[in-house]
Amino acid sequence: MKIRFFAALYAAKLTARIIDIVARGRGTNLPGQIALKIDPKFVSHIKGLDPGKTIFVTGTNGKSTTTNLIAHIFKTAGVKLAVNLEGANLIGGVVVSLLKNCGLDGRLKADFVLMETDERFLPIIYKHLPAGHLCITNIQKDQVQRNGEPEIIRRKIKSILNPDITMYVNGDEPNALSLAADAGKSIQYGVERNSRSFDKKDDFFSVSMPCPKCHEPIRFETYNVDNIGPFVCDNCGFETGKNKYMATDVDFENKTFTLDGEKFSFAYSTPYFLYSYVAALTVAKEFGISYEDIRRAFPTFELVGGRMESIRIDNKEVKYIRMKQENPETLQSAINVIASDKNDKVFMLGLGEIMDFDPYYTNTFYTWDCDFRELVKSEIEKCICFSDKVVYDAAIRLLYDGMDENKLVILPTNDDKAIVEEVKKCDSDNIYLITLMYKFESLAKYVKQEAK
Amino acid sequence: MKGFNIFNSIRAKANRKSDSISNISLIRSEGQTKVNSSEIKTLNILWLYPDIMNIHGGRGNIMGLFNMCNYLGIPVEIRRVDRLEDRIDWNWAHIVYITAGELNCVPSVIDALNRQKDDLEAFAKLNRTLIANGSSGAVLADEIRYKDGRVIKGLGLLKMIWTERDSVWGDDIWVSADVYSNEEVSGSIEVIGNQIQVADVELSEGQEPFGRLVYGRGNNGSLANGGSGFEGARRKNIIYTCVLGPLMTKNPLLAADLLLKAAEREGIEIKGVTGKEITEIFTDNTEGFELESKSAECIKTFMKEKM
Repeated sequence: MKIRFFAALYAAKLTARIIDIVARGRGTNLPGQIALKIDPKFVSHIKGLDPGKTIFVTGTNGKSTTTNLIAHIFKTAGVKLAVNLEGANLIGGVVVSLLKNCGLDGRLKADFVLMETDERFLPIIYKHLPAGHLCITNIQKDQVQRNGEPEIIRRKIKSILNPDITMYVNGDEPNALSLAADAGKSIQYGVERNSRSFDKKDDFFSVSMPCPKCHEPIRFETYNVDNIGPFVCDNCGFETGKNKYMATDVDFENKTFTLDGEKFSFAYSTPYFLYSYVAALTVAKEFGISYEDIRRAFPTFELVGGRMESIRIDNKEVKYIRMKQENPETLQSAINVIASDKNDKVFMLGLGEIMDFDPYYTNTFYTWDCDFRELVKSEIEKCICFSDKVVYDAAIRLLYDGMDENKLVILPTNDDKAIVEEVKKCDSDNIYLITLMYKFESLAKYVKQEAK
Repeated sequence: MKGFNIFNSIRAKANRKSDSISNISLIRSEGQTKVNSSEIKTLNILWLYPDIMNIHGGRGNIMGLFNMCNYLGIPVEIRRVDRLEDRIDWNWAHIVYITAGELNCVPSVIDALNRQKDDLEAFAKLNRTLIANGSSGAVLADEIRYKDGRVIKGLGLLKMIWTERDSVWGDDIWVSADVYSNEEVSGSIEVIGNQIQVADVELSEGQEPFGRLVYGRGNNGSLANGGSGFEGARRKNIIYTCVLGPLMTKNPLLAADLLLKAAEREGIEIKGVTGKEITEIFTDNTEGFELESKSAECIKTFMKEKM
């Protein structure tokens, strides 16, 4: 057994080293897959692993940001972590992160293990690496081509819960909170109503969500993010968690919030990110990190890959607001950011076909779970829709929410040049872009080349 | 023929307050007892459990029907029934719609509707329209077999058995479905959209499908892949289809078909467009529904590439 483990360890380490030299910085599962191929029980043979010092972060949205934030806080406080920061969140990626933190004697060299875990593969990962601590960000509509419905994800997460697990859970998100009783201990966090909170009580077409316990409608007192906020089920009484960690006095303008009487600054000031900050703070504090260290860490945190970036076309700044495809909550968050800018502006919407899994397909139905009306009313000078396959669907969606058709430009193409030329025609230099990451990267690359 | 611009301007009204549009009412469930003060007979649409069956942009279907009523000049009243314990006024409703929801919530909806089964059966006997799409279609089935071993009896309005799949199937879908007919027009139309299938659907002998697959997986796969080649199920005006999109915004002809048949059946006067124009809608749709037509062409081209 020992020979097999060490053969796996050395082979995987060598592979990881080669990949580091050839393609530095790229996360990969390959060394982990090699390790598991040689020794299927590779993880359990690593010395020094302790479930009490192992933290998983899972959920449909925000797990990368939350994981990275926790890691940043721990590192700022001088704690050594084994962590999968590159988003390699399947079993192969988890194994790679572990073996990189193993000495040649097969012993873990880190104080704690922190792993972002894909929600669908959590049961498999947990089988290899039983964690004593699980942070759940939320369980929402996401990647429906593989996840189908939120309940499918809820069931996956529920399947690993047991009395040995301490859960850190978003107390404002009903699906995630409904799992609290399945863990040995549950610590909840939340965010108080704030200037970005919204209501939709009087709107005939607005929909809430089913109570995960009794299936009657959940009533949100307010929404901090779509389907996240203080809530109650009037039928069974299921309600917002008793949030031990609660962000209050949230000031998005000055990027501060208060928690437990302490004031914190945060750099990425959207409601979605705020929940990641509070989740990370919760986990860190429960692991003994001081508020002082947390306060010191927050301002220096930088997102991997970026959430809000910009490109310059002529003298115009195109501000990119990233969304997660097929994910209405992150799209709504992006819409709200743009709607909150009351200045004249151009809005660009470049939805594309979904290319996460085979077969690629043209889903845009998630846009109908979103509300564009505040954005439409927010001094839009021009709206440019582009895409070779779903541009008409995007345009129809905007028209339904009141977009003036005279302001609407429909570009049935993905051609970077055509899109950039359309931007150059705009009078306004205040331009917002919502599109998928790969399209933004393509546009940024084109603009860079054009500038040479 | 009404053109693209008119349809767009009508579309924009969908989210305005009900009082800005004549003969249009939108009423949430707490207002169910409210009496329509207008003398004009309205087409009555009931939106069942929008908060509970709340996924895949399903609310867009109701927006689509609402706009199409405006376009066709059909006076309409739409009401929501929000809670499972709410009493449904089946006698009032001409069209009942259950938008896509989670398979997990289906047993609760079946229980709620079984408590009013006599009224529901009377509704069905009047040939009124009941439509469910996505996983909500399971409500209408004979039986639902869950992965965890549970077997749930559905309402049995459509002779089909649902079996939860081990994995989700998501793709585009293209269906040929029988729809509107009058003296000049009859036959089938194309229905385009997406499919997120968490269950396989087997139709019992004699149960007609909603349509036949041109592309996609439909109930249980195309003929070429060993499946039935069927999509959905239909018995008179009781319809299940897996097509998402939303179905009623991406397929205006289907929405028009559903509404015109219901209006005709209920004796509701249509003032907005003439019979000739309605025929034109079904024979030459490119002018009236330009964006929708272009969308369909784009996505059909993409599907042909995938065939």
